[in-house]
Amino acid sequence: MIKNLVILEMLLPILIGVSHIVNRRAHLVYLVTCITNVVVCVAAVFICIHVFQSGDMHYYFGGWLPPAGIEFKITKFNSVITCLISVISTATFLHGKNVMFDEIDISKINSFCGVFLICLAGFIGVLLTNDFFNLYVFIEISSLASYSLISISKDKSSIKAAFCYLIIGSIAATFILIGIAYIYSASGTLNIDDFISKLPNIQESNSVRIGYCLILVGILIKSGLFPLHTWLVDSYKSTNSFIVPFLNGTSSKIYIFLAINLTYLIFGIHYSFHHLNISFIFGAMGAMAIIMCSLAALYQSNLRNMLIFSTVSQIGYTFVALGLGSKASAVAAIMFLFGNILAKSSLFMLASNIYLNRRSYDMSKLHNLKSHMPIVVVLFAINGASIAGVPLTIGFSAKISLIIELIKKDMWVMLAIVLCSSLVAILYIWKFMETFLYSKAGSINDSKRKDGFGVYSERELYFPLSIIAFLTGANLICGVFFNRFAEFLNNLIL
Amino acid sequence: MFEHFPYMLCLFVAIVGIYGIAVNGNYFKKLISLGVLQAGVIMFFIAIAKNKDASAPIMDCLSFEECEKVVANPLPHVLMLTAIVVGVATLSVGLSLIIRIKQEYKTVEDKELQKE
Repeated sequence: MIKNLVILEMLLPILIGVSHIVNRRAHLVYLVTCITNVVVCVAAVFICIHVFQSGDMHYYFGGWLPPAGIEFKITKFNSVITCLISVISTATFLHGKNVMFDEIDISKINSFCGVFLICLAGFIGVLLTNDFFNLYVFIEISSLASYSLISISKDKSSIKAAFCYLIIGSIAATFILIGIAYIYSASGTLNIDDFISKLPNIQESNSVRIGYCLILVGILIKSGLFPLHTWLVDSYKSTNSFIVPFLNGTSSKIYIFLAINLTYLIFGIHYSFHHLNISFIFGAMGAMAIIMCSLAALYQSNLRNMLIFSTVSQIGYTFVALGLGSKASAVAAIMFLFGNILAKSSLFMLASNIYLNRRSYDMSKLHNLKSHMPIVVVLFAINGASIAGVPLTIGFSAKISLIIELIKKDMWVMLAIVLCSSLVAILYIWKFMETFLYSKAGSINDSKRKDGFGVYSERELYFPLSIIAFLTGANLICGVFFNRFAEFLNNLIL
Repeated sequence: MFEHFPYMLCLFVAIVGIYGIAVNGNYFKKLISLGVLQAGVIMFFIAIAKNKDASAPIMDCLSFEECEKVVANPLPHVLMLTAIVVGVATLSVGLSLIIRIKQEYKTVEDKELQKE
C-alpha cells in the first residue's frame, strides 16, 4: 500500500492537472487543486515517516528490476525535501486565493492551476528518481511548466523574461543531457546506484570527468548562482506575485538539492573535492554572489526586488558552504536550504499580502504599515531576522555552522565576507522595517479605492497570515532546537 | 583521425547551435538555434550507440545465447525518442511565447525589445 503511495504522489498531480482543462469553474478548480496539494503533502509525510522507521524504499516501474528498469528510490534525505516542497506548495495555494484571483485573469485560472500541478509533479519526480535519463525528463517537465507559469502576469515584460528563461533553461538542460551521454558511454548504465558501484573502476576516465562537469554546469545555471542569475532576477521581477513564493521554494532549490546529491552522495566527497577540486569554483562564485547581491539588495527601493536579490545572495551562502567539502559543511548547506525555503517563501507571501493592501511594492508607498497590518509587520520582522541570521532562527543556526567550518579550515577572508554581508543583510531588512514602523505624514491616502481593484484590509487576510505564521513557527522551532535539528540533518546524509 | 569524425561532427553542430543562440537578435532564430543544439546532442547519443560492423538491433533468432550477430546498442536510440519529444515540447512552448511577445510588443527583435 505504502509503496503505491510513492507513485501516486507523482501521478496524482499530473492526472488532476490535465483534468483541469475541461473544468472551467475557477473556484471549483481552486478547491480541487488545494485538495490535491493537501493529499500530496499528507502522502509525502506518510512516506517520510515510513522511510524513517524502516529504511530506504524502492519503487520499480512495471516490475522491471534495475539496472534494466527505471526506479524511484526514496531515502531519508529526499523524502524530507519532498515533504518540504509539498508543504510549500500547499501553503502557497492555501494562502494565495486572494492574490491569485486578483492577479490572474479568471478565464486563465483553470490552465494556470493545471500547469502548476504538472510543475509540482515534475519537481517531485526530480527528487525521487534514481535514473539519470529520467532525471533529465523530469527536469524538462518541471522547467517547461515553470516557463509558462512565469509568463502569466499583468506585467507584459513577464513574457519576455519567460522566453529568456526558456532559452537559458533549455541550454542548461542540454548540458545536463550531454553530461549524461558521457557518463553513460563511460559506465554503460543509467541507474544511479549501479553507477555508484561502478565508479571506483572508471574514476580516472576523462569521460566521467567531462560528464560530471557538464552536469554540474547545467545544475549551476538552473540554480541561479551569481554570474548565471540574470534569468532568476528578470523572471521573478515581472511575474505574478502568486507564483513567486512557490518558485522560490522549489525551482532553484531543487537544483541546489541536486548539486548536494551529485557532489556528496553520487560522486562522493573524495572524487569531487580531492580529485577534481570544485571547491574553488563554488567558493569564488558563492563569494561573488554574497558580495554583489547583498549590495544590490541594499540599493533596491522595491520590496520584491530587494527580496529577489537577497535570494540570490542566499544561494551564494549555500554554495560557499557546499564548497568546503566536509560532511558538516553539507549539513550547513542543507540548513541554508531549509532557511531559504521557509523564511524567503514566507517573506514573498507577506510581500504579496502587503501588495493587496497598498497596491504597490515601492518603498514610498509602504510607510506606516504597522498601524494597518501589525501582524504582517511582526511576521516580516521574524522572517527578516532569519534571513539576516539573528539568534533563535534557522538562519542563525545555518550561519553559525558555516562560520565554525570556515574557522576550522582557516579561511579568514571568506569569514570576513560572510560576517560583513550578514551586517548588510540586517541593513536591508531594517531599511524596510523602518519604513513600515514610522509614518511619513500625508504620503498615503488609505481610504481611496482604485477602480476595479479592491484594497484588502488585514482582517480579510487572517487566514493567509495564519499559513505564513505556521511556516514562521516551523522556522523558529528549527532555530530554537538547534542541536537536535543539526543532528537530524546529519542523519539524513550518512 | 577518422574514428573520431562522428564526435567532431556532433560537436560542430552543437557549437553552431550555441553560436546561433548567442549571436542572433531575432527570438525566432534563437529558438531554431536551440533546436540545432539539441540535434547535435541527439547525434552524439546515436554516435555512442554504434558498434563496429554492427547491424540494426533486430533479433532473428529466439534467444540471446544463440545470436552471434553484432548489433548497435538500442538503448540510446530509445532515449533519443524521448529527448526528441522533449525538444518538440520546448519548441512549441517557445513558439507560443513568441506569439504572445509579437502580440504585446509588435516585434520579436531583441534590439527593439530592449528599448521598451
